[in-house]
Amino acid sequence: MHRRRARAASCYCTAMSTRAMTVASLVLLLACAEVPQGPVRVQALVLSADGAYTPTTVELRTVRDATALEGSVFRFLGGARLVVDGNDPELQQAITEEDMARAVLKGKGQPVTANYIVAEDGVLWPADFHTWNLVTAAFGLERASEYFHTVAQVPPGELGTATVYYFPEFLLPGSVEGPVRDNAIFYTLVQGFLLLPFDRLQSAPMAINTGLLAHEYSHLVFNRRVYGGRRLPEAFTEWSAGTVTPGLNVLKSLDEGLADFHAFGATCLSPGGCNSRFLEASLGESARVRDMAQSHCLTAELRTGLLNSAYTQFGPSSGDYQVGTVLASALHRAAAGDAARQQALGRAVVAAYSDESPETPGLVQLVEASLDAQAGFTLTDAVRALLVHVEDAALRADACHALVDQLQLNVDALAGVCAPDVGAPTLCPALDG
Amino acid sequence: MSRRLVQCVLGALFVTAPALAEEADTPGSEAPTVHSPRLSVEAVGGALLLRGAHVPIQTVAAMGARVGWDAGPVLPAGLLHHTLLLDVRWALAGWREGTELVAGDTRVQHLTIAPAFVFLIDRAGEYGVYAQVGGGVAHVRSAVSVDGAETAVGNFVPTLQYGAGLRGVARMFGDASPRLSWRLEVARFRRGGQDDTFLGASVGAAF
Repeated sequence: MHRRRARAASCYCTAMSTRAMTVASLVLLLACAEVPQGPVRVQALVLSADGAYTPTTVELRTVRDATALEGSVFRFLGGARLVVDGNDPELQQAITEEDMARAVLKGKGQPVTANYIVAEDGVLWPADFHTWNLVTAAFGLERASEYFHTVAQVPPGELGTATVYYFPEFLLPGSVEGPVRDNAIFYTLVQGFLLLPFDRLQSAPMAINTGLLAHEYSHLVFNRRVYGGRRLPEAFTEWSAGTVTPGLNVLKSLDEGLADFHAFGATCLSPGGCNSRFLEASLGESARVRDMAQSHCLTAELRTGLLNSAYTQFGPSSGDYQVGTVLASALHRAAAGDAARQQALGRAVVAAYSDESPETPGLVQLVEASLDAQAGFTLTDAVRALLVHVEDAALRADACHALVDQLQLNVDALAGVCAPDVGAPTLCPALDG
Repeated sequence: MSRRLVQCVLGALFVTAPALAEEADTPGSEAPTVHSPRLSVEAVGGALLLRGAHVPIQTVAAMGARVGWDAGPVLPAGLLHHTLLLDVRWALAGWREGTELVAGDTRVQHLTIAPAFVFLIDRAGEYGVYAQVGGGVAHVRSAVSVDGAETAVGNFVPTLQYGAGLRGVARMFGDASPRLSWRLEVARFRRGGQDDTFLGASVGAAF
């Protein structure tokens, strides 16, 4: 067992008369509120190179208030209550997206209050479990934000301050019995993260899983860039009513797969190094199916589901996650374990989210062009948008090969981006049709 | 507020005891004569309300012990002769949260010395209400364990205690010792920027 000595709170008395010191001590005791301000060094549970979560001193660089865990990247709120109930009159009467968000957010919660012990070297040690959880979540979100700023070159300030609802009560009456637990969500309607309480999952809490948080943060970036920061993206409202929703299925698959790919890239900036199996620490071995380092191919069944089912069936059967994993796996394969290639692909992917150039349209432009007919937004078109933003020719060629091979794309449809001789499938047997 | 109450409040801040001692000689201010026990030892138990990290209030069980010394009789007969009680109190609260893999253990201990001013409310002098202010230290220990490997840290924080309660020293064997000593109390402990509130009771013997 490791033990650390810590000093008392930052109240000191110099030599004074006994009476004066007594009075001064009482005043100091009453007034001395330990509220660390600005960037702080804190202990967090960080996944080390040996694969174990270890208390590690890290710096929270963007916080203004370490007690409330507020800063330019995040703002934590505890005790919130969200209810998504189709029978809720307030929700039924909501007209705007903001009305709907207000109807769902029954309790806004209050700022969290992290409790610390101040060590002799000035490092703040969490004084209870939830503070460990909160501080490590803050660290994870900060690192995810840093990844998008430094690697993907998203300008500082574009993403804004995200609200993080910590351990909220999240109810989906009619869909889920009791409060939803064991999940972490970027919920577009409230434009915030929900770090839900754990129940059955008894391994690493999701709040300390920096890879998982980076996955969720990637959804925020996707929302800001592809959906224009909308609470109810237009593609959802326009496309979700269809009996077959191929465009929506592709869009959600891209969102999930690219989130995994970025999350992997973010883990490469962490002390534990690149980790394609980051989900397993929290979700167990069942999450191994999303290990992008493994070989994944689009199956005939997945392709059929993608093209011919409604999202109400495709999503709940994890179709978007499965297609997303194939996409992430192909990008990972193209990076070939090279940090520079990995970062270049990450940068290209984010650049492809929105590009108003008619020659190299981004995802948002492709979606807008197909709002009236979602079948016009295809996986091939989306992949073309990604590839066209890969600047390095050799990397683009490798990405072409991997994506065509694993996503079973028609290379002819990628003419101008991928060479016709991109190569025969080497990993996945070609599907008929 | 009566002059006597004001003096008692000020006395609790340790700054006016000499003046009170002088005024205690004022004729007519003496309390009824009783033969009170001088020392009490009590077990303390109750709920400690702490500031939660993600909820406004976190409630945990607390237990401890207290030694009370009726200090009034050592003072000259007068105002404080039957009302001053000196408490030494220790209490511990601890809780564990987390998953099977990652868990946190926190223990908060308060060790304080606090003079209490008792206002007897019955003729026999067995029951009284009291208010007290004092100080001491709190020790906070936090340990996080990951897959059984524990890392712990702790520190001492100066603490201000204040509170009020109901005190009883009931006869069990006539005038003989011991007597049943008990209290119902509300106490607050200000440590650093936090306020811990204790709601509880204590019971023991007075000699």
